[in-house]
Amino acid sequence: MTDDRTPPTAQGDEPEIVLDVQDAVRHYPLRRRSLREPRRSVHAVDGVSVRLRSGRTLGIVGESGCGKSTLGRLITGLETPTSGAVRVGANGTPAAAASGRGTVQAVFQDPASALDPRMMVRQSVAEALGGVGRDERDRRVDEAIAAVGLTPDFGSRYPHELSGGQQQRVCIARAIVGEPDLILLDEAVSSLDASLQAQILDLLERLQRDTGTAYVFISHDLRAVRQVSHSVAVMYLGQVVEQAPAEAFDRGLLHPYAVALRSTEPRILDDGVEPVERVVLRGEPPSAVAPPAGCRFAPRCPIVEDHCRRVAPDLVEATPGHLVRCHRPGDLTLSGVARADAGTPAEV
Amino acid sequence: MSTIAERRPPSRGVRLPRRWPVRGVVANIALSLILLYVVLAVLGPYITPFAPNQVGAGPNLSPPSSDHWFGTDALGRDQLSRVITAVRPALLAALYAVTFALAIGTVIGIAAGFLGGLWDGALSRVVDLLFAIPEYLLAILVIAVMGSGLVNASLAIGIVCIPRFARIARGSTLSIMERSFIDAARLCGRGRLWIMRRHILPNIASPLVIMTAINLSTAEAAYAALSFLGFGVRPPAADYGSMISASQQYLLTDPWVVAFPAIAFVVLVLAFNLIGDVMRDRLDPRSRTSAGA
Amino acid sequence: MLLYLSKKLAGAFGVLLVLSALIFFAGRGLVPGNLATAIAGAKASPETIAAITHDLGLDKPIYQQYLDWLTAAFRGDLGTSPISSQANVDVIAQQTPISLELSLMGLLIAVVIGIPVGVMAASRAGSGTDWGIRVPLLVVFAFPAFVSGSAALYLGTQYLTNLYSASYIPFSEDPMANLQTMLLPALAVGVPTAPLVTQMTRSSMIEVLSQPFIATARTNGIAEWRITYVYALRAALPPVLTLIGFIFGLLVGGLFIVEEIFSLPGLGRGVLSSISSRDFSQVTAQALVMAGAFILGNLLVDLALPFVDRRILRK
Repeated sequence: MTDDRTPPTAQGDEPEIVLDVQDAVRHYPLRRRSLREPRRSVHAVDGVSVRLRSGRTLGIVGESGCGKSTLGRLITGLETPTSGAVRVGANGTPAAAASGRGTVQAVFQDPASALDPRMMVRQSVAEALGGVGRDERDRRVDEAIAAVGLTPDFGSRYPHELSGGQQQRVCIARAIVGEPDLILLDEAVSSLDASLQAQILDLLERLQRDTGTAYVFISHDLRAVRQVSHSVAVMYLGQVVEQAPAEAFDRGLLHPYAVALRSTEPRILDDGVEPVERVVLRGEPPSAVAPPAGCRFAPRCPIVEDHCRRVAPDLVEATPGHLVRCHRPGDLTLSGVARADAGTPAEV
Repeated sequence: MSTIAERRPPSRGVRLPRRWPVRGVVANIALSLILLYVVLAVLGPYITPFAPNQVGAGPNLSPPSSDHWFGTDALGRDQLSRVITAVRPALLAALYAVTFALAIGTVIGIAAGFLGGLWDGALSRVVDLLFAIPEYLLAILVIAVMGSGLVNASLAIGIVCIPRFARIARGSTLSIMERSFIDAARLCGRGRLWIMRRHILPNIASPLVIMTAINLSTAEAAYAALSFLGFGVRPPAADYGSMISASQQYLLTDPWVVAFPAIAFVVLVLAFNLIGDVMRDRLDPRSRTSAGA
Repeated sequence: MLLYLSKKLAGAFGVLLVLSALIFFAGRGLVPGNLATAIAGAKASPETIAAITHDLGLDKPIYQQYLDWLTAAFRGDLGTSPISSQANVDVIAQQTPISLELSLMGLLIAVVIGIPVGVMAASRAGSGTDWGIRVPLLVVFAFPAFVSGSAALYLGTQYLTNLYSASYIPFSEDPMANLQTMLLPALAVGVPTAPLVTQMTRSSMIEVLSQPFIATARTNGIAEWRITYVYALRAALPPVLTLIGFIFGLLVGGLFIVEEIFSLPGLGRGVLSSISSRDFSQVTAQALVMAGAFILGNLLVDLALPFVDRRILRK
């Protein structure tokens, strides 16, 4: 399960930045229940900044409702941020303006819902090639279908004639055919069974090596994220609480939430790594309508202190490329609590 | 078509009764009846034994005989000829009304569902408003302003039917909008018109077709009622509603003058009703999810 | 509850307001050309026409005319017909009770027939019995009010002479005589509407019967009749109740036709005669009352719904 891939461009000149999110905020106003009530809103994404270079993959993990899918929609430009900036592509166009220009493409969770049941595979894939001449379009659609490992006869089939894995390959073909700078993979393998997941992840890695496209890989499944990502951001209640290189996820995690998430990752019986304490979080995430005043994780944190409840921590760089938003970074580790003041975590 | 029909929702624990096999037979009978009426409407002028408006084609109010199979009316006009001739306005009225309502209602519904926001608010208000007027009152007021006649009466009925199409089109559009292929098409750079035309319209076609079938019978009955009240094609042209209305006073003495146009009309509406009912089952609870999706 | 109530009330009021404008302008559209000329006749002198124009306020801008009419209507003054010179309120006061009685009786008949038959069809859904119920009902439904009305009139005058009397007597004067006049027309309005109630009850019941709580009730050994008529019917009622609002619309349609056939001096017939005499003032008033009653009926249904289904308040 260890990640032994090396980033394609670890040394030499850095590839260009294709995604630059600066302090993006997205609030959804709620309907007022009475006239005297102040207008309230859901803080779906609350001040997220990330950058991604061409040919690299940024993983985003978190529980459902943590704002990761909203962040994805901001990146694709399907929604515009309430404040902050989301720029995509080599020349830094705002995502909303780039939306539909082919700079960003997306692969969604449920392939059955992502394909129009009344369009043949070829038509669906060709949809990303508006304004391209017929001959070239046909050629590129053929290439894309072949690139995702489907035979040409799939082109004239309808989605309901395909299996889930085949449908997802078609979605990927549609995403790559327009040669985008960035592809958003929103839970793209979550609905597939384990063996198919592995196949699709391999396919995605191969395509990235061939085309140099950057990926934003959103999932609640930390294992899948770690496998494909160069850098992983952990989100909690609309904020990034830790962003670390994928290698750091084996031992070097600093934020208690990230540690808890990592500790519950299912493992194959004995993979040679020393046993991990399982940190079970109690309670539900607090409401995104009225987030806690101090650290947002404080109500559920096993190593919480009074200070945490009063003052919200900032996202700071612990080591180069490793950011964390915590007052006590590194005090909870995978081997257990360093300064034990939490309940006894159950053993795996 | 088939993909939608095949994707039945999973059973919900209780065993549902099997569909009755006669369903197909019922639908076939209804369809052949409608086909018969269509043939009569097309061939009408060539097969009527008398000119439909020919006064004194036989003695006044003569009962059915070998010369006049359906008898004659108070002016001695041949009833069989008139019953056959009246098929055409009856079918045309339903066709005009439903086509009009389908076209306008679909556009309103898709626009409201797809554009959302203020558009949805405004369009839905208009539709609610149309719904809030008693149907016949609305139709009669429209006719009062535009004047009577086949086309105007059909348009009046069409206006009355618009909200039904608009609502179902809006609802189905909203359910399609939740599917991510709409977002995918946006990311592919497809404009609103393309998405509405290429993605939404084909996917909401089945509920609209069903709605069309249901509304044909309503429109048919409504036109006859308006014609009965004197708002249909102008006399002396043959029209079921006006024929029945004109012959009403002879109901007690010479019932056939009312009976034949009434039977011809009721059978036509019944055929439309049966088709509508078979189609309605697709919108009904057990298959609602598949029709909406 | 209060919020729900005020929302529904405000909605109904808004609709009525917009409708009043539509009806007003439809009334004006009824008469082509100059109203005053139409009233005075083609040969009238310009002075007469000018006088009529001034009397009716036709020299004011049209929106002012509408506002005048609307404020008068709020005070209960629906104007005076320039054609029959009768106060519209008086005419309508005579016509409305007849139409109201007819539609309420029709509704009652439709519900009394429709709901039990729908429940029966649903509990045997898909079987021969189901179709044995549905097909005849579809046949009945295919008979529009003007055919069934004619048939009822034929029966009444031919065979049921004891049951039917042709002249209208108000309910307050002689209830029996009144019912004698109204029963057949009410049947003619109600019976063709019943299949619609059946249809809705049936599909709503089928949906409810397939839900887990019914299966639970069965496994708990609750009697089948109790499940069907107490548990399921109660849960299936809200959509049927909503439909009743829609049925008001059909009943209004029935009014036009059945009142015409049975020569009942009701509101439906009133509208038709106002249209044929081009009495724009009277038709506007009548249509407003009719639409108002319809909206009120729907409002009552909306207000009754929370009592059957409490979830509605939460939405």
